[in-house]
Amino acid sequence: MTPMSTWTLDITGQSHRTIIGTAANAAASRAAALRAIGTANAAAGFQHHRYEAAVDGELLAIIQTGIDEEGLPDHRGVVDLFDRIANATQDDPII
Amino acid sequence: MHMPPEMAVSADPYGQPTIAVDWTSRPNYAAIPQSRVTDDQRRTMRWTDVHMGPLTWQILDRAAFHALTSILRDVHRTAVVVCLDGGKHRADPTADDYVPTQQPMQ
Repeated sequence: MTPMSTWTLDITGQSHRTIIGTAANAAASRAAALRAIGTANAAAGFQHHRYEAAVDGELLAIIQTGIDEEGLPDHRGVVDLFDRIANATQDDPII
Repeated sequence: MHMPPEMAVSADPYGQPTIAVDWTSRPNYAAIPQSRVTDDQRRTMRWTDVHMGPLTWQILDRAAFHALTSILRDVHRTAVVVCLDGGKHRADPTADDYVPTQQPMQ
């Protein structure tokens, strides 16, 4: 039996729902979870979603939607956050 | 906080470089656990990157987390008292059931 990787996404806003998916490996699960956040963000409308993603039980990311200049949920800002997370090199912490 | 080399610490305690960030609305944030094996392969470093607006906080341990949240809690309490609309933002942002105050559309 081929080992599978499981990802989960908890979306909290005016309601709470959980999305569960599987993928061939942890890297694929990570990508799938981030895509799910992007999809949910695109459909969030007027909700300030909080996304909590995990892969194989390990926390992947917590993302909270902020407020833009018009007082509306800043979905565009969440997309920009994705770009920063995806393109950032892993900087060592200053110790 | 990671400072660019050209902003190195000055000998003058009143001449330290400062960074000011104005947040006029609640920013998006992302908390990402990070880890990496040290160059000597002896241990795994773990920390959390918190991306918030133009800043990225790197929180190395629980002591750092508690120290940071304590500072931010003091800032919040001060703002509630000082700002004219502070009463509307009195709710504890660290509470599990916290809901951001809806800001009026402009």
